[in-house]
Amino acid sequence: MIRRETMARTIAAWLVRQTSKALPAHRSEWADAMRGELEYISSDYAALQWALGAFLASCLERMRVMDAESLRLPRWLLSLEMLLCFVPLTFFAAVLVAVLVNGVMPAGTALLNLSAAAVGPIGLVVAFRMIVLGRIALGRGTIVSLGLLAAWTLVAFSSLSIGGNGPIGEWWREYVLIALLPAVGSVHLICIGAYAPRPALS
Amino acid sequence: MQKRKCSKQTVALLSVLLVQPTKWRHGYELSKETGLKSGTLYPILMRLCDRGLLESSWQESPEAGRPPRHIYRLTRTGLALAREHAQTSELAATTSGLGEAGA
Repeated sequence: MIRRETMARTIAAWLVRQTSKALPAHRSEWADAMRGELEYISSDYAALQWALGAFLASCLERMRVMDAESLRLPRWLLSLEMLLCFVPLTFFAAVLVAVLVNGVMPAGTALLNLSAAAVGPIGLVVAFRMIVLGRIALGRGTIVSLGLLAAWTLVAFSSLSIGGNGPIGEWWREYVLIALLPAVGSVHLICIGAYAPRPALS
Repeated sequence: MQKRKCSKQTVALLSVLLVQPTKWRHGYELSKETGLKSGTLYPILMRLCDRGLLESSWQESPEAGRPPRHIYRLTRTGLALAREHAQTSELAATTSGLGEAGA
């Protein structure tokens, strides 16, 4: 049967292809099973629904089998997570640098804020090294620094947000973007880097 | 084997498979019959296979150019568990019916 490729069908095909990347190796047969079944679904809408479910199932299965020693996600998913975790804070850090340079804010205050925002660009650099350059193992110094910076970010922005007078509805989004997500990203990077196998010393 | 409590969705799948226990079934067919989406169905199928309650195989498509399909049916242990759940559900339905009649 010749079927015209619609947008929904193309997206569905792409999604089911991702299942084999997301599923752990011992489940590869199940990725083939879900992908194969897609060819027998005649409705494009049903095929897209099927593919979305298959993709979700594969991501959940990946998360289920994760333990402390295998916190590594597929590269594309880790990239997405790291961008989400560190880009907003990096942007905030860039704004603070501009503020400092233009003298809009007292230098002491701007530097204090900048120190709390430093984990954004640093986290991005560590993630870049890990994802793009493949240097997964992190040294003890990097782990401790990243952990301390993330903790400082969380404490500083928590005290600013919670200590402020506004109701929670006014600041929770910013708090998630510049305090919680960078902390989550840092913890994930530390876990991956700390448990990564290290090259043997020659 | 340690007996575990099955989820509502697993029981629904077992009861569909119990209708024709020797027949091999496709994933999409099971999805339509149980009303479970693929995101719920496949993790259950994986678990049932892991626990030896379900056996799977590959079926070649009669049409050229189409991929083979993964097919499933209950094992002897799976059949026993499915029957056990069916009896429990029947008993629960009967008890509930008696309760309503008595009220």
